[in-house]
Amino acid sequence: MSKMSTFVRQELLALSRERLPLSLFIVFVSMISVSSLIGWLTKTTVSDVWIRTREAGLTSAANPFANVSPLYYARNSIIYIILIGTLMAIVAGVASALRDRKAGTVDLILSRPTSRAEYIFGKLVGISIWLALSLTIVGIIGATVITAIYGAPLPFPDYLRLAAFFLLALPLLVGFAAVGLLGGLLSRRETGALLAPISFWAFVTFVIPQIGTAARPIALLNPVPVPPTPGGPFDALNLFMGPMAVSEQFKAASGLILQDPDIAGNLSLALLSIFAFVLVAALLVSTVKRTSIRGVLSE
Amino acid sequence: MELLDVRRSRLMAALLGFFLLAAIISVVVASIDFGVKADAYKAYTDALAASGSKNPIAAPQLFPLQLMRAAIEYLEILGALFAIILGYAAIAKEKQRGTLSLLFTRPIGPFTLGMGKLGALAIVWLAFVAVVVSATMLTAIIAGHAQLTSEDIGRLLLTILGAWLYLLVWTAVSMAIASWSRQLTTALIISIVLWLLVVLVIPQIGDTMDPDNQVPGGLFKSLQIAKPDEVAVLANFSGYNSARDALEISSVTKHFERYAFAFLGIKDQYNQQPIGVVWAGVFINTLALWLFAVGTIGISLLTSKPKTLLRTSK
Repeated sequence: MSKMSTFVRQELLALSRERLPLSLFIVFVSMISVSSLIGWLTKTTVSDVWIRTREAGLTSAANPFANVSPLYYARNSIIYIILIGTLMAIVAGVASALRDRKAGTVDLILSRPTSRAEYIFGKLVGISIWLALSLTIVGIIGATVITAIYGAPLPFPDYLRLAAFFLLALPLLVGFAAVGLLGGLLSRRETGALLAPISFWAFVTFVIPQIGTAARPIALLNPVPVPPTPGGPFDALNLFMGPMAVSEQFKAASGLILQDPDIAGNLSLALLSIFAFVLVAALLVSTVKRTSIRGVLSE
Repeated sequence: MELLDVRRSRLMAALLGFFLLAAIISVVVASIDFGVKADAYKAYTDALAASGSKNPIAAPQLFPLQLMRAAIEYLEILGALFAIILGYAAIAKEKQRGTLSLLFTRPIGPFTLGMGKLGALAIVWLAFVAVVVSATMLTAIIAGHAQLTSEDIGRLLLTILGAWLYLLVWTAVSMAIASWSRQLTTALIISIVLWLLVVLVIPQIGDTMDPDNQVPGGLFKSLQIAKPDEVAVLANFSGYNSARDALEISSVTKHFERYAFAFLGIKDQYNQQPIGVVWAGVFINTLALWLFAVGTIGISLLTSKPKTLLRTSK
């Protein structure tokens, strides 16, 4: 256990010095902060549009944002976690694996009386702690911006919901970090090490949901999950592919936690899908052989 | 030499394979989706006929080029990322192998290396886009029972040209950054952050700021407002819309999207219009694509001069 904690400490130290994950973290924090402001600006504009149409006698419909919860402003954060957070996690995983291989220190480390599992899980736990810290910072900033926009402290259950949402993001990010680590440990080329996990991310985020729902890739960047096309083979395809579309499941679970009225879904299934993903990714990375970890890396 | 490297690269083969798979799946899914809608329409009209009512809704029509929508979106997102990685790798491998000093001992001009690498990657991207477009169209013909007209072929060729320019922009950007940067890691950081912002974040903010995207099914549809009234109401928010548009057109991705969607008839106003009408409609986007391409290629050539490359490869 003490050996694993050494790997964890080393990973945390290295990640705090690594520039690529840090740069993505800065983009992540900036976008989460700005996303609430964009949500506020859009909501204000939509309400103004509604007032104009009502005054002109063009509609008798109720204002769609009349009783919207302050948690509505966190809606776009879901997308930034899927877009930026997961990429940040992948890059952290890849960087962690490549660091030792590039420096040639992996041979030295594995020559010590330590197991492959301690080395790999030490790295994964270190990255997970770094991701948890990142999400805590992002969550605090997000909650502060939403409170400022709302103009008063939110009801306490809303803060709990926000905390639950950011907490739910952790297994998703850890799963993608494990995929990044896997890519970095298996690849023989630096570019391949980054490209393979990003291709996997693209497959999970865009291709799998498309098969089950017939949704277009850009439509999947909307915080509201795309419902399956009724009829034809889509019902059956979605039954099979839906649980594998982990980013769509994250959207559904987050929407339900944040009480988004546009989102309907099964929270238990979504949570099961996310936790199954992180478990499978961690299991896969634990199977990487010593010879692969020590393999020569080239460009 | 660069072409030989790319041809031997298993990474390139995997990249092309993955992209082709995603694009073909997208066309198959779109074809099935159309089939489902056509069947639903038939069931609806049969039910109406049985009850003796008239059908007020027109039958869904298949426009084969529209089946390429998701493939174009994949080119926007993944194509740009792959272009960045190939452009970066073209310079990174020379810096890491230490072959630059040797290359520049040969009697070559200041722009020869940059032009050679860009030229080779331009050929690669032209072949790549042609294969992707041909494969997706072949899939549409087989899976969607679609038929192409000679005008459709012209539209596809113009789409290939636009996609080629778009990928060339990203390759030139990443080559320029990799040449200019002293540290390759820094080059990769800047390129990926730029991709994230230009390809994903800016268009996503633009879409989010669209009032019509705020309610499922569309805001104006939910308020039961006709198109002319919608235009009149939105005219009161010209400042907001201009800011949104300015944000969108700062991204080369949006220019490519508007260009390709117009020529493929995905944007309703250009569907089945003569090529000349579409050309006039997206002239600004075409010009912007060319300007981005010329600008980034120029910068890429300037940064790949021996003086810069040898300085940054030490």
